[in-house]
Amino acid sequence: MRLALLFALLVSLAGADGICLGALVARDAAFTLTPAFGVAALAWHLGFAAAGAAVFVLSVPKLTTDSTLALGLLALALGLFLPVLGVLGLALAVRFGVNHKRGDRRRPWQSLDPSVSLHAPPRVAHRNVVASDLVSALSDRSPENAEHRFQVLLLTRHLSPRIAISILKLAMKDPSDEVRLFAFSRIERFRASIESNIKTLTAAKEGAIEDAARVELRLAENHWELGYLHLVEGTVRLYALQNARKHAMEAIVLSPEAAPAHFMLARILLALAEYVPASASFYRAINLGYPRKRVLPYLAECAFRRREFDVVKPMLREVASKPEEHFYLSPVVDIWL
Amino acid sequence: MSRYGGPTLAKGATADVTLVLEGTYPFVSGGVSSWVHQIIRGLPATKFSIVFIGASPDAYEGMKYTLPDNVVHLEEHFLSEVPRSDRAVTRRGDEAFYQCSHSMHDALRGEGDLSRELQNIVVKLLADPAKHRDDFLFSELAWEQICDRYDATAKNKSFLEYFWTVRSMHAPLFAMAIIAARIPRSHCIHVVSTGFAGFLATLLKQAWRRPMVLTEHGIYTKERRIELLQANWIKDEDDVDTTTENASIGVFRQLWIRFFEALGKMTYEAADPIVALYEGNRTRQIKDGAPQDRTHVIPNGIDLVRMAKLREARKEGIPRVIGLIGRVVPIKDIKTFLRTMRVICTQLPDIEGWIAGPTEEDRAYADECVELTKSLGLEGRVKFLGFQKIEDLFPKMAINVLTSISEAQPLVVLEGFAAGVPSVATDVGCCRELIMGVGAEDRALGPAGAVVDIADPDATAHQIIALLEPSRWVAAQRAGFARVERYYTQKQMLDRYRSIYDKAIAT
Repeated sequence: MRLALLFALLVSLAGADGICLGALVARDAAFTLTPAFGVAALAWHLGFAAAGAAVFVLSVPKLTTDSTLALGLLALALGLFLPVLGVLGLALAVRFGVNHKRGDRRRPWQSLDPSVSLHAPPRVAHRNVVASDLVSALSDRSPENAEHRFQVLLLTRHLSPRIAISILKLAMKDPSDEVRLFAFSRIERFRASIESNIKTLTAAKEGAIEDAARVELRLAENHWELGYLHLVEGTVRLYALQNARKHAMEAIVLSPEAAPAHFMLARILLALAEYVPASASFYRAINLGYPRKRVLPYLAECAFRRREFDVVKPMLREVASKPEEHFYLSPVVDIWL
Repeated sequence: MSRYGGPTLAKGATADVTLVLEGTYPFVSGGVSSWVHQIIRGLPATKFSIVFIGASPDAYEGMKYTLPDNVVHLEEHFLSEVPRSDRAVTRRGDEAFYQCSHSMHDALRGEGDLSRELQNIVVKLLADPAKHRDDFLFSELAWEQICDRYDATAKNKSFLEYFWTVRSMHAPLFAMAIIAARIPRSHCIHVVSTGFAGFLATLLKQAWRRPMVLTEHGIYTKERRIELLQANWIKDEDDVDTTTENASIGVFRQLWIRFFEALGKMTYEAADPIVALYEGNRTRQIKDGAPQDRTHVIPNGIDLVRMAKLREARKEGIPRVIGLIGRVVPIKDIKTFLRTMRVICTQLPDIEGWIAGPTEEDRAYADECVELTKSLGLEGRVKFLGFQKIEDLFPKMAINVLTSISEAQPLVVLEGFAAGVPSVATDVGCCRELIMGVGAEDRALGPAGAVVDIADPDATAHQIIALLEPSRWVAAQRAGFARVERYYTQKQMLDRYRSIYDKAIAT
């Protein structure tokens, strides 16, 4: 192929030389440039450009099923209007472009967002889709109602993953095979997505020395998410949370001033029912600049779990001062204040 | 002729039974394949011809079984090798055929006599399959019918997507018709699923005018439906009206599902008898369109003599090995087994988990399972053994675990019982019947293990740990063996199939 490309280039160069040669001959022979001579020179050039294009098209690998004519016309146009550079450029583009492999420049911590944002309140139900209605629809397990239950599962796509998964788990005990297996497949998709993130991030750890802390934090988030979404339960959930803690602590070792890592660790500890260290980590996150308003509800929860009810109230009062930021907590605030 | 070296019938020679198999024996190991092998070996006087239909030749490495001597013919056909026509030739198409096709589609929707329409279209199709294939691809009538049906059912969806969906789903049917003309004759057709194999068997029945037997292990239509609901290659959003709370799966997904349902109905229409492995599946077949009077139940059967040797090979005491014997594929939910092992190993550190089954069928899933094993810290505690003979497994196993999300009547559970291994299985197919018994007399034998919900590692682990308690384990072992000995013997099964074949061959 290399030889053929070289030949195509030479043919095209010859076409270009045809014009130059004609011009030189015309000057040295003191000819005046007649229209007939111009047409002959152009025909000479066109002929060589066409020959170059043909050789080029026949010598390059077949790129697509329909590209032969288009590629031929492109080569001809380039040979005609850019006698040297056109074919040379095309030859180089084909030579290096076809086999060029795009480098993997993805940054896993940028592309692999956990489906639950750590920095935003949980999503609420979409429009008219209300979780409690779906649960109630699933409770009629008669065979005649199986199709309706199946449709109900489709509606869970409009709920936040955590709520959807809790409903899908109910459906996994359904007597209808279709309902049960569809619920299973939806849950498996959530789970597979997180497990794939974990795999990618684990592989990325090797080559991400400068961003190791961020990779560790993302690993912690993904392990934590398995438990948070109730994709794993019991002993396996505990194991996932322990893994999450390990990665969060690693992230903190690598980047001790990273407030999000302390916040993540605190949430993991809260999930592990280790309330005292969880509170300490939440405060550390605040001290390192994590927005206090986002941490307060969790601090209040830690205090509640430790039965320090007198601490809970002032925290919730502070939360209540900005209801627009914690609207999803309003039922809790209403009860306490 | 088989490209894998199977036997070929001489021109003009016939077999007794043509087995039409889709994606199983002899190229894939598993429950259905073991059953087919058992039938062929168990009926040595019957000459079998095997027609295998697979997706792509790359998916199969070679034969997984040594063909018994009474297999006189083997041929394979792959759906990915549907021949392509390079040149489109303008043609009007066959008016009568497309009128039939129209009536057939109406009948499948319940508007007309399916049996009559099926007969009509199959006769026409078999008369000149290559012409009808080209008509389908290039004729004006085919185009008009596709356009009409698009307008009627999917008008607001992508026409391109609709067109190619219809083309790709129907093209193999014409290929089946071309194949049907070349298959050597036999006295009886036995198909082991609906789907493309069922359609081919339906064509053979019409072409040869011979009886057609259908045995369904799982319900093919149901399994396809589950696959299609999960399929990522169908780029189709579900239709959800959140104001009315009406929802339905996307049009193209529905098209595929209805296509396989139609193949199921056609196969049921042509087959007699229609055999299920247990009552639950027979009921499902009737619901899906099988005529009730043609349906029968013939459960799996176990070779007790062979299994007695495995019981004798067991050592004293309860081994510390929990095994899962099955292909490493999503439907077996191997990941739940791994999570179960995580729970067990936390409480009983000396327990080992074995996963014995081929990993080639879905390498990506197998890799995910290996990754999960590492992620759960189970390296060294869980072993992926690949395909193994049950003779090498059962004597060393304490409990035979099945975490499948869908099963029919898993042979491996019955084999385990016969080999002295109780089972913990998910509540799918007839696992509950096998383990707890069906009917008062059967239930009186006692539970041969435990039944759990799907995808519940905690509950599965809890039941396994409870079953490892010696007195309970011994009672379960005894109940399992008694159940197989009474209700699930190979002799009972073979006698019934022998009778079916004799009747069909004599017709």
